[in-house]
Amino acid sequence: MAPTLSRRRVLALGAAAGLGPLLGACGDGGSSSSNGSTGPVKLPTYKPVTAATPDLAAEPAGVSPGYFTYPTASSAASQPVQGEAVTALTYTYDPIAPALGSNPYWQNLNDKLGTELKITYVASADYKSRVATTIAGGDLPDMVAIQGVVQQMPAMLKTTFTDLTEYLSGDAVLAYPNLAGLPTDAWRSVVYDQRIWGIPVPRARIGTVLYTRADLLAKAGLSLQPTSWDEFKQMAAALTDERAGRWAFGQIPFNTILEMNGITGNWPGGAGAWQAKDGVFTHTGTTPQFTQALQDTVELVKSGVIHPDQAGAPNTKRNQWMLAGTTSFTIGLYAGWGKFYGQAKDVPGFRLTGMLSPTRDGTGTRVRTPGPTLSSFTAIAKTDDANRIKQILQVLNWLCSPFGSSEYLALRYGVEGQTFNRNGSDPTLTEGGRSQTLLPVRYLAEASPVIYEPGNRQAVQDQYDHQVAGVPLAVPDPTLGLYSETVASKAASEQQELDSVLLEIQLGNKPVSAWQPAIKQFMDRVGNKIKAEYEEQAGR
Amino acid sequence: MHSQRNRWRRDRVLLLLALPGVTALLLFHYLPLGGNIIAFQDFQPFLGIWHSPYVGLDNFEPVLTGDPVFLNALVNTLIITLIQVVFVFPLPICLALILNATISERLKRLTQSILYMPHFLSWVIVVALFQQMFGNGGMLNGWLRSADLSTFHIVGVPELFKLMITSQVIWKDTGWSTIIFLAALSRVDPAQMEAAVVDGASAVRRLWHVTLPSIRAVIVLLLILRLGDSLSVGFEQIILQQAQVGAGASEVLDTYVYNHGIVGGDWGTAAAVGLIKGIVGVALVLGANRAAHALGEQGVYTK
Repeated sequence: MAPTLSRRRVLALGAAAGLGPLLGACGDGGSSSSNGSTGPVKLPTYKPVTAATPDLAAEPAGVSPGYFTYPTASSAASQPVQGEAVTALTYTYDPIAPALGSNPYWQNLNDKLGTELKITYVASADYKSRVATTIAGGDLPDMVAIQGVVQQMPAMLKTTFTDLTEYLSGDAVLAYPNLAGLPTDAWRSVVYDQRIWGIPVPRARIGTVLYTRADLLAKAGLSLQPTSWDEFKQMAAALTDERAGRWAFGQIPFNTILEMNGITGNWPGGAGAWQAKDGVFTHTGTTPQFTQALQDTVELVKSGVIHPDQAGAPNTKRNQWMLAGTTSFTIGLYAGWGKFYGQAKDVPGFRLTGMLSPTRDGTGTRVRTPGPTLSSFTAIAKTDDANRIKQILQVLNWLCSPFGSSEYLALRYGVEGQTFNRNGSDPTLTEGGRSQTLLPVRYLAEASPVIYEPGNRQAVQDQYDHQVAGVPLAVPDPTLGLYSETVASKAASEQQELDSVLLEIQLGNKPVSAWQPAIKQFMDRVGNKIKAEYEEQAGR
Repeated sequence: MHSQRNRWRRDRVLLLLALPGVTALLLFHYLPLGGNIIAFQDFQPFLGIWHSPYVGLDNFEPVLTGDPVFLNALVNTLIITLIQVVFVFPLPICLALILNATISERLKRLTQSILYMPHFLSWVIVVALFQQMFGNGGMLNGWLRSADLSTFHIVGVPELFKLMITSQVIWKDTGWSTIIFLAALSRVDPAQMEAAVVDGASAVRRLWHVTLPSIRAVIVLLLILRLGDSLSVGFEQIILQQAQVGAGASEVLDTYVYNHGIVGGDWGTAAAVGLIKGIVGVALVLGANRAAHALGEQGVYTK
């Protein structure tokens, strides 16, 4: 619960691998409004925009549409934007892209957009502190990506950013057709105190993925889907060969182990840690299953199947281990799936699948932590200049151009013949294009996610299959739409201490029994108050 | 009055030259001191210093009540401070003496250049280097593993963490710190040295009775200055490695301030702890300076 942990180790564990803990509005994993007051405001009208018919339908609900090929004819979906340069602050999970002067992709983007886009960005792990210090310093760019829930969010937004309600509420959004194509669930998460504060960067509901090197597992003759904790452990042992410098995991799969024990949520950060039954809220950290998961974790770590340098390793390094076959798994948010294919283009036989968490004893219902509905939302620095606001919204609208449009091509692939080449109708990034397109425009605004891997049918099918299998297992978060002031104001610091104890247990510095006093202190200081706040609101 | 004006006139070029430095000092060192007011506020970044509510001494609660997390950070800081003052501080002096005793000027230059180099690497690089060399999957252990020998776990072992960061500090900065001592050594009076040789003093005697007394003032000065920021035990270096060993072994006051203030959003408490750290630093400098005076040294300043 509560946004915490922008430390480097944030990327360390499980779901954390992207933004779980950063997003972490208590319990909602950033997935929806934790603000409770979505009632009276009229959410933007949903009017889907598609520039192409999918090959794999978006069913069941929550699954992204899949495309095997890129539509041959791409037409424009937006008007170019006129006016002075627009500045933005956002985050990235990738290496830094070349600067504007040596980045034809970015230059082309500015050309097509019709106005200059000046982006400053920092690593996602440091992003929350960057935003806090930028706000404290009072020197805001035009657009700021907001991750997670920060203290006194409604008041902070009111003093620092522009209320966009009149521009986006109800049918007003239709002036920006691509913004009207963003999913309603994602919009819910940008409403605070019944006002709309930004443009969501929408995410597939599948959430965090235990990325699996299917080719390595196949080579070892292992099933791609273990069905119990015992089989999981055997699989890990079979994939480990210390002498050859090979381990199963590049990080502790703690959230997977939690799910095996029937608990959802993302740790560290504790996003999604509350469960509810008959109006009674329970912090899963207090349950015996959680302690069991801790014991399982210690057992797994002791068995030596995790890379010995995993602790504190940055996520980029863990991904490299997986790509190099040093490890067979890595953990990250679903949104990063497509990136691996580009990075693995020299890995023969590379095939990536997602593994579901089995139940501990192999029977009963499997559970899955749903992903956040958005990655972040982009707010506009406080201004009264209506024309400027409209211009910035036009820029964001342009950035949300749908799959299949010519803008999407410019946004994802750049300039034909320079940053990408066509293979049939499929665009393929060149070496230079691959690094240039790391410019994180997609963390300012982008269209609803689709599944598409140029010239890689298997990759599309693997992602789609994982979504179809995983999305229905998702256990909804009971705190969605509820607001706890304690979470927003006091819990971050306490959660930080809780995470620090969790880490010590996972590293083996402290015994599992250290968890009980830690969670008790957490409950005494803030947990019980949060519980009461949620129960009161849910009971209404 | 008249003479005062004359002095102003006489020194005006010097004063002008000092102006940019003084301005920078005021602007970036003294003005931000006002920000310490946060220690007495329930500070919210978006409200700023002017509008955040005043809460008195509430933020000092973890300090006053001895919160275990705070105490852990304090104890770690003190241990690391002690290690660094006792073991790290004298090393550049020894190294400078060795370099000074090297006869070949070329060899001396070459050694100096090599020793200075690590200073210019950032902590990220230094930490990564140590990780690559001594990490559990690093070079040393990789080699041991392939040779079927048992491996050493050095990285990620809480008990060895303080040793680890101390070695890094020594590797990175010892060479660089010799510069001032070498400069001081070059000013040792050769006549005294010759006289000692004539009197038949051995090398050890010469070191003890001639060399060291000549550089004593510099050593004391640097020691006092070092004490002033001795509670800053390497924020960047530690935060980079904190996730490997956990907070128990690695949390120090600086990381406590970062983790509670910037990460945890508890700016007030973080500022309070930072403020106390600053006050202790000032007290150490004043105390050490007074002690230096008592021992007949000049210290950093005289009244």
